[in-house]
Amino acid sequence: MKKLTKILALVMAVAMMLALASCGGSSSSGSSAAESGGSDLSGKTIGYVTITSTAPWGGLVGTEFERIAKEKGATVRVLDAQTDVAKIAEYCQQMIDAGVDALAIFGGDPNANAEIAKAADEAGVPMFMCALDVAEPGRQYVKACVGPDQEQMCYDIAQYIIEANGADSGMKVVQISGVPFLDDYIQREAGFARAMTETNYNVLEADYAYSSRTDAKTFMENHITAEGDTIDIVMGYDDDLTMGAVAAIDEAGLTGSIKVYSLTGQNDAIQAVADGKMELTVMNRAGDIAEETVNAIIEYLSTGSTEYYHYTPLTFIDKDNVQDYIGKGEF
Amino acid sequence: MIETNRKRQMTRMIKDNNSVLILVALLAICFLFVDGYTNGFYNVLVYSSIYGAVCIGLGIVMITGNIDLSVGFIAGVCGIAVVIAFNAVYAATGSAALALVVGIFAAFACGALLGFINGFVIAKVGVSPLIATIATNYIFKGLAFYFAKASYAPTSPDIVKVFAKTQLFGLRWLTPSVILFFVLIGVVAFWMHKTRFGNNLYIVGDNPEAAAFSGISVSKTVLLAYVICGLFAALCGFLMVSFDGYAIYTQGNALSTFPISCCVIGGIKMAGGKGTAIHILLGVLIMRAISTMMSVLFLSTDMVNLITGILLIVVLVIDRFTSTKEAE
Amino acid sequence: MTEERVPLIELKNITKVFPGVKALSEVCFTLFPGEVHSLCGENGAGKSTLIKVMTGAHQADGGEYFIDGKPVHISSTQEGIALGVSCVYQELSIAPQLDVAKNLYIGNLPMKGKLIDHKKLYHDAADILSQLGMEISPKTIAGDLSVGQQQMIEIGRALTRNARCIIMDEPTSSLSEAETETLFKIIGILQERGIAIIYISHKLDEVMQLSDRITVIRDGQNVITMNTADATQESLITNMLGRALDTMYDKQDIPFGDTVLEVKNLTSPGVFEDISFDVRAGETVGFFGLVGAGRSEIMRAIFGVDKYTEGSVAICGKPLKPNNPSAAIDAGIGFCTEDRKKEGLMLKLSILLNMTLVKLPEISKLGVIDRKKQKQLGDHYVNAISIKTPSLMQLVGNLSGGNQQKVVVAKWLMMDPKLLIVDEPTRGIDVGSKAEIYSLLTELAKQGVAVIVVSSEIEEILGTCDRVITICEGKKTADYQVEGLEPETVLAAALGHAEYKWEGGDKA
Repeated sequence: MKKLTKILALVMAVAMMLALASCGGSSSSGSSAAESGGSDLSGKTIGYVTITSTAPWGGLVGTEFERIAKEKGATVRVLDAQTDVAKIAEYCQQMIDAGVDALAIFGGDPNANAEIAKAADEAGVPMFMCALDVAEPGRQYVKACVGPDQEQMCYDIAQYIIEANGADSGMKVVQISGVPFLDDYIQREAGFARAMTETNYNVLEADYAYSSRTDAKTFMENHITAEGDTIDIVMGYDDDLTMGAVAAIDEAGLTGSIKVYSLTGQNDAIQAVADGKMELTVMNRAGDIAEETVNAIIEYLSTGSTEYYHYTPLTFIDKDNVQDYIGKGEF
Repeated sequence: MIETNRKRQMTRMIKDNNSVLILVALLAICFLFVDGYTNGFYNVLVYSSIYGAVCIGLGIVMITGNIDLSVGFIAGVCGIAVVIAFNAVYAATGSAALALVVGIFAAFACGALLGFINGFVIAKVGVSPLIATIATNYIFKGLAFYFAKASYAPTSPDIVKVFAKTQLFGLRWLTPSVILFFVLIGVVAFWMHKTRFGNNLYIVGDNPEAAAFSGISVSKTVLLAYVICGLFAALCGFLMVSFDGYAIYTQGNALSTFPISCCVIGGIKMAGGKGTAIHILLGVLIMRAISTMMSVLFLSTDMVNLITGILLIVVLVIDRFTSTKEAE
Repeated sequence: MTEERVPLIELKNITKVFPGVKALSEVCFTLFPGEVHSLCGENGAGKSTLIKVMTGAHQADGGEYFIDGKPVHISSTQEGIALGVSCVYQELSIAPQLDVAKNLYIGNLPMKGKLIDHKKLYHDAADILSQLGMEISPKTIAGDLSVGQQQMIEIGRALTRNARCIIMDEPTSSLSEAETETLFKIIGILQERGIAIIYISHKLDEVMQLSDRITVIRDGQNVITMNTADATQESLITNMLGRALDTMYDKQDIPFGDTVLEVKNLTSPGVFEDISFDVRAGETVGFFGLVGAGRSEIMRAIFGVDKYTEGSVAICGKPLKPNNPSAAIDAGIGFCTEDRKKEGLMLKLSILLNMTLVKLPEISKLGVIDRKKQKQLGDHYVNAISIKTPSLMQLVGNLSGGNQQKVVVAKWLMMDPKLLIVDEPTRGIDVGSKAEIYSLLTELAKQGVAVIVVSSEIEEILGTCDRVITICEGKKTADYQVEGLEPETVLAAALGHAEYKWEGGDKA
């Protein structure tokens, strides 16, 4: 019995390796047969490296990108770094070595990505950033950065708040943010801050919940305990986190007395607007970013150049138009 | 009697060195059947030389019959230490060379310290190595996080990147780190075989009571083994900074199961007392070959996870069945 | 008679106190170069403590220690070894994955500067091996050697340290007859080289055969030191126990009942072949044979731990399912294994738990143990078979060998077995406890239990059993009535030379 099990284990190992080898190449591309309807990318191989494919919004960017690129006739290679920033560098290098025609990156560290951009450029592989820009030194190497104008978006949200509440009302504002060193959050906070200079609001320093709704809820609970109903406004920089704050406010019975403003456009946030638990959310569709990235790639590959910033549309959702959008969020 | 001895010796040789067969078979399959493997092959050597350093350290600890699950983050923290020290010295003196030297020293100092913490808790206090290093893993992870939430790059990176990035003689797969790795393997192999301390490691791993009876201080040997492991992890941390061009808190993640898988598949037995530096080398090459194969094939996340998991189990099963020590 | 020889080792009035107990009290001991001096005493008499003081593992609280007439103070085993005092323990300390040479020179490898001198290592190792008359290469992996050979390596290790006195603690307990002969030969060689041996063993016939002098210790004190020539086994036992042991064995005339165990044509290829025998209630049948003949394997197959390919087993007329220990237990079989520490006991758990282990399902309701009942049973049996312990919660690992064995027996007694198999019941147990176990077995037989005793000691078999079955190389070679049987006949049958044809039946 012992001998048999041992042989079985070895056979299993070898069989596994053979199976892998034989299915080489067929894993993520499925049918690369060109679909009719715009074969602008036929014959092209696009590499897509993402920091994660399991987060709802981030994962959606990836799946949409793959779908749209394939519709255009491209072969798409996807590698998921599973939240390991160092792996992004490794996978990008892999893509470059494999000689992809274009490389798109979602997530990761802006400085690290700047390095990668340089390497890609040197190898002649055009690089495109989804939703998140590289650090300044790397922007000369990146062909396009696709996403909402984060800074402007939050400036506009701030203007909305000012209109609703008055510039001199001395509101106390709690900020719930995500990851402190990621470019999108940096830009959002900057836009918001720019608008706040025109008010006399008391804006508290941002709490960074990273990607945890539970942490966001805890931060809000702490604020409520410490400051009670002196809080007037909560600015959330990501619906997923803001919903945690909403839960805390709800449990404390302060709904209505604390006004919540957020962005992303998730279904539960839209519902919260409908229920009066949130004043505003701004829909930022992952699908739009994916589509626009593909467009940018097509433009670059066919004409040799494209604009650096490709801004994607945003939709402001408040109680006036929320009924049109219930359930229409991407997730 | 002599007949059975010969046969037993043959079986033992195969059991101990099955990693050679695995590597040869694996490379054959990869080169023959996997598209683009030759292109991506340089990866195997270069990454082996960077991540392999930590496997040498872990192998040494495993030979004494212990384990260290915190090596990944020791490497991570040491990498961060390099950058912090480098930037400080560079800002103060403007000399990149001096900053580099201080940075390397800082890494080793860190590694020795963290390794010592592990060794002390395990050898002197007597905590089980599994639990202890899981705990220290969290502690070191916290340290890494505290110091480098974002990527932390040396202000004058070129000199740091020399080690892992220069392509000698224009060959993509020949970087200084590759040479260093092979030299280290040779040195460690010699050291384990020829020195008293090296031999003691095996004795302690095989039968600690016998070691104690013969005057070998088991606790001292184990403690030193962990310190040495920390030093190798430090080297790995430095090389990671050299290769990536920055240090970041997630750097330790990559090394969570990799070193153990390497050592075990190479032939370092979990039970201790067995295995040489060559085995570690083989193990590293095998694991990197597989890793490279997975990325060359652009396997989806689920497949990668599945394979990594299955691989670890298969490796442990092989270890169990090729263990020549009468277990329990 | 002879001129004044300076003793190699002399201990004068050694006292050693542990918290709560005086282990040694004014003990004196001398050892001359080249002599074999046996140390005898019951378990707990103080032998190990005395040895530990000699090797340096313990330091005496009072008294003097002389080597070659000069006073010494040894504070560690390392110092002891340096002074020439080595000990080969029962628990071997061999590193199984290293080769013989490295084991011989463990911690003591020959160096050339900072590096190990491998050439010298293997050369010197080969030298030692030839001195011991062992024909194996120094590069052999130690784990591949037999237990006997490993023991030789330990002796060899003492030689590499230039031992002048080698202490051997129960050296033959795991050795075959051939290996024991080799050991004795080596002891002779060592003696010729002027090395003194301190020999500790419960096997009194070995003691009588090997030693020049014997010292008996009891309750931490000297009883007597005598020349072996003047000693007899009886006098030794009397001295060890402090009283005469009238009868070691307690064989009585017991009427036999119905057949309890019926084994027919039991076969396991390569292990045993065509084994058939019966045992009746109240009967005690012994199984004798050389080490490795297959006796334990037969018992394990009957009990269901091992498989068999042909044949059948029946208990009280009902066939027993093979390879199923639960079924065997339910049918009323109890099995005290050969290696009680490894297979019979959980050393880190209490006496109570170990004893009631098999009975637990019976005294539990819905998986919850009835603690009161458990304690009742524990108390009853501890008294019934006089297990010496301050409490039921004492860890079994702390008990002496004899008491440990009693715990194992108690475990099975609680099940009211119809058949009890005991494999090497008195291995490593002192004389006093041995007698107690024998009378226990007789009690059981009186109560109508069928008993099988597997043993390698002929006296034990002849002393306790009604019949003896000999097994040689997996085959049954004889089935004799013990009454009037000569030991030589049994031995001959076990060696496969049954001059006398065995009778197929004829039970009294």
